[in-house]
Amino acid sequence: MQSFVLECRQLHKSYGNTSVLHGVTFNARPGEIVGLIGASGGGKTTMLRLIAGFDYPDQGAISINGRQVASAAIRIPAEQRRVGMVFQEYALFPHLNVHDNIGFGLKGDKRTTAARVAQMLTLIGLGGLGDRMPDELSGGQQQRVALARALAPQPQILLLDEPFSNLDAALRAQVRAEVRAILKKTGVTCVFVTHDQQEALSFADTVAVLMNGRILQMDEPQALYRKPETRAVAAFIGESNFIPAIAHGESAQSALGVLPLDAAYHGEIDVLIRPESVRIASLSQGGIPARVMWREYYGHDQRFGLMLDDGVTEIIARAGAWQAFTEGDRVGLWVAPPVRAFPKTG
Amino acid sequence: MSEIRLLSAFRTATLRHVNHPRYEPLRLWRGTGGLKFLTAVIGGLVLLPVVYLVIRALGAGQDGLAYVFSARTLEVLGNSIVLMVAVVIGAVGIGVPFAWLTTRSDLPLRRVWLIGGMLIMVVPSYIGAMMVITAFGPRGLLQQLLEPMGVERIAPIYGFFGAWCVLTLYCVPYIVLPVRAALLHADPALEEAARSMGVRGSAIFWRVTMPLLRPAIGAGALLTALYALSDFGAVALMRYDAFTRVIYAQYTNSFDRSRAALLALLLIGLTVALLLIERRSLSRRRMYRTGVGSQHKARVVLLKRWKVPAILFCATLVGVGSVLPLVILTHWVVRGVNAGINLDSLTLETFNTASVSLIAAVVIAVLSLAPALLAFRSRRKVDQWLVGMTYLGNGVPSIVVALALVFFASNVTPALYQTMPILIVGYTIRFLPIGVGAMRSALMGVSPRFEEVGRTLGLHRWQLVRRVTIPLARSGILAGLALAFLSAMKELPTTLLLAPTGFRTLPVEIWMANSDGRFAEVGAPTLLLVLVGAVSLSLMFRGKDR
Repeated sequence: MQSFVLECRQLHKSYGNTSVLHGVTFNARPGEIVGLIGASGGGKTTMLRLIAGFDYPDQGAISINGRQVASAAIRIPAEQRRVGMVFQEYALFPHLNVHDNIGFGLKGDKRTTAARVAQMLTLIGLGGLGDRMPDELSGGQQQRVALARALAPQPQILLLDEPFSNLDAALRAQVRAEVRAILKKTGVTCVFVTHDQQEALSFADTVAVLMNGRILQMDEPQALYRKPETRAVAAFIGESNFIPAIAHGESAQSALGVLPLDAAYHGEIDVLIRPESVRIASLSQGGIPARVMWREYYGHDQRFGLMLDDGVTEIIARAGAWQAFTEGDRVGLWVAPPVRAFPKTG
Repeated sequence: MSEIRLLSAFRTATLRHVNHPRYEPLRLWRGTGGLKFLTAVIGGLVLLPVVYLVIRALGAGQDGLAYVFSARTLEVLGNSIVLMVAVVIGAVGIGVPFAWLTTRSDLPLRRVWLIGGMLIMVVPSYIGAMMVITAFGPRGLLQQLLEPMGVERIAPIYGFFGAWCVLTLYCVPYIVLPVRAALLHADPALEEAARSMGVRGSAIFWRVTMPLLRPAIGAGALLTALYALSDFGAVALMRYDAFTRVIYAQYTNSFDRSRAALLALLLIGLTVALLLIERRSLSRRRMYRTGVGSQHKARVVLLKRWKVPAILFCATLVGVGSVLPLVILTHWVVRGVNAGINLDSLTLETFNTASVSLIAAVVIAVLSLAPALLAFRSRRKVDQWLVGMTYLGNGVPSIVVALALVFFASNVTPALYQTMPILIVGYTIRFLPIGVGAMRSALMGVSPRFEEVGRTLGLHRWQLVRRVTIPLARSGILAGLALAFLSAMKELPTTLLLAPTGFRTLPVEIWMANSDGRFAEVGAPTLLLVLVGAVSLSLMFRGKDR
């Protein structure tokens, strides 16, 4: 148990009559970046506030480095937790310059403080900008200053609230990589929340899917995408085709023919087919015959809505940008094995 | 009525959505108990004199009842209501077109007219009334101009007409500001939508713009009504028997102060009725707030053949409201300098005014802290009511507050009667809302995120207040206190009733000079108070563009 920096056990929280969290359990290992992803209103921000100590759970317990900070009997407030936080809007103190913002939470004499601030400025690559005021910085710079301010007092955990949502889409990927590098360099344990799948999958070591106040699955990004444990996770992360099938052990019979499964099942199931696992070509090359119902062209790739010849099975395919099929064309399709199965629900 | 009301109407009109979710600030922190207690004590002290006055007035018995229903009282009531309604109609009739012309039309020099129109507020109403009398009164400037042409008498300015003119003029900004804000912030897409559906020209104004303006006009009209009801300077100088003048006359001329108390009670009743109406209308104000999305400018309406009348209209308002006072003020100062003013007494009066106002501002600063923090930390109804008690000076006319203090002091604490402390108490009750309001909105302007960041960085409660909250709110708080200080400097009725005998302040000096007809002598002090007004006006709108 000691190997976890953060342990959240069975957290429950309601505001008035609305229950926001019911029974959230998850842990974070030292140096790990955990992403909490969920739809808005799904309790993500509440989770962060509970960990930070702005709010306390109704039930359950939170431990940081083995020390209980919140439980039925214990309520350690935020200022005594040594949990750093970077807010969505950064919340840099507008009356203080970059240097004083970063040094805000540092204790001790001026020299050690200044040395630590200088060290942080170098870390975030803003050396020499200590005298700037926050409003003289770009969005990405402001974020790095907020990060440095939170990291300066060496927090036990760093929390990030929707860290990249205030940045231009063009800038986001770059800043994400920079921030990830900084975090990995300091080795801090980090929990962030986001509603952006791409952000969660690319930034986190481990992603936890928070839905309706529960954690549905917590896994490495690739496992989460390739082996979702529930239909809800499959539907939430990435795009999904669910095709009905009858399973016989490790294969299943469906409108797409016989598909190999990644585990053994029996009876009625739905198989999950990601659009990029569907390959299409002209019908003359074989494959399962289908008709193109619609096409959405994105540039780097495109999506096709296909209808099989049985007239009921619809499937979405993602294809390379070069494919020139249009509405009404007949195509042949293949599915890349193996596929994931979910027992039939109603 | 008071600056803070105007300010709040203005803020309501310009508030934008805050796009971070608002968790209640520091809700978890125990111990609003102390704040609650302090606020209750302060609120109680503020209410005490007025409550005492009400109880005494209600206890007047048969005689009192007879006086309330006497023909004279009903006449005063009628006078006040007629004046109030007439001023509202006048101010709306002038203010709405003025706001529209300076905001939406191609009127030349729009900013000049607008600033000129707003400068009216710089002059305290009693000084404004004196200026109007100087200009249009018997043997006034106008008559002097007309005399060579054989005009020996002009229509008397005193009475209803004079009071109406002055008050209407002074209330125009109370309409213009909220209406202009509403015009600026209303989504132009609404008018464009109407145009795309084939609605044209003036029909757009009446069918789309006007309904959107209604809440702003309503808010402005209520401010105007409250102002007209509570103003003392203009009605007193114009010798119009509205409540405030008659209350003052009863207080000074007769030994029976219970009659003044009864009249004050009626005035309170009227004010409360208006405030209740205002409370009801609060929920509808949202109409002219806009969403977050970016907004383009509304179309400028071409005036064409209406341009000349529009210019004349604006020029008349600005001329009478702002240029004329400047001319008269210069005239007075020049005459005063020629006559040789007694600078010694002026220095003393300025010192008296400034020192007593400064003490009041410091007292207000200290007393504002607890209610403002409570309003900031708690959103519970009970606490809002507690804070609301400290806003008494906002609703109840100052002549009533002052009378109540006279009553209370002479009957309950005779040692305080006619002393400096009671004058400071008077200013404090009158202007506490400015302090609480300024501090509160300054605190509200501090995003809870900042305090939360401070907490994650290990700051404890008082460290947070000292290192985060106060520094971020500081300029707003200081501006509020400066406003309270400047307002106290200009205040007439409270000073007239409460200042110790022989204690001369600038407003009192101007008042006395007026009743003796010594206008020229007060040129310098008047100029000083007008400057005070200018500074407080600029303070009020300092944060406007942020």
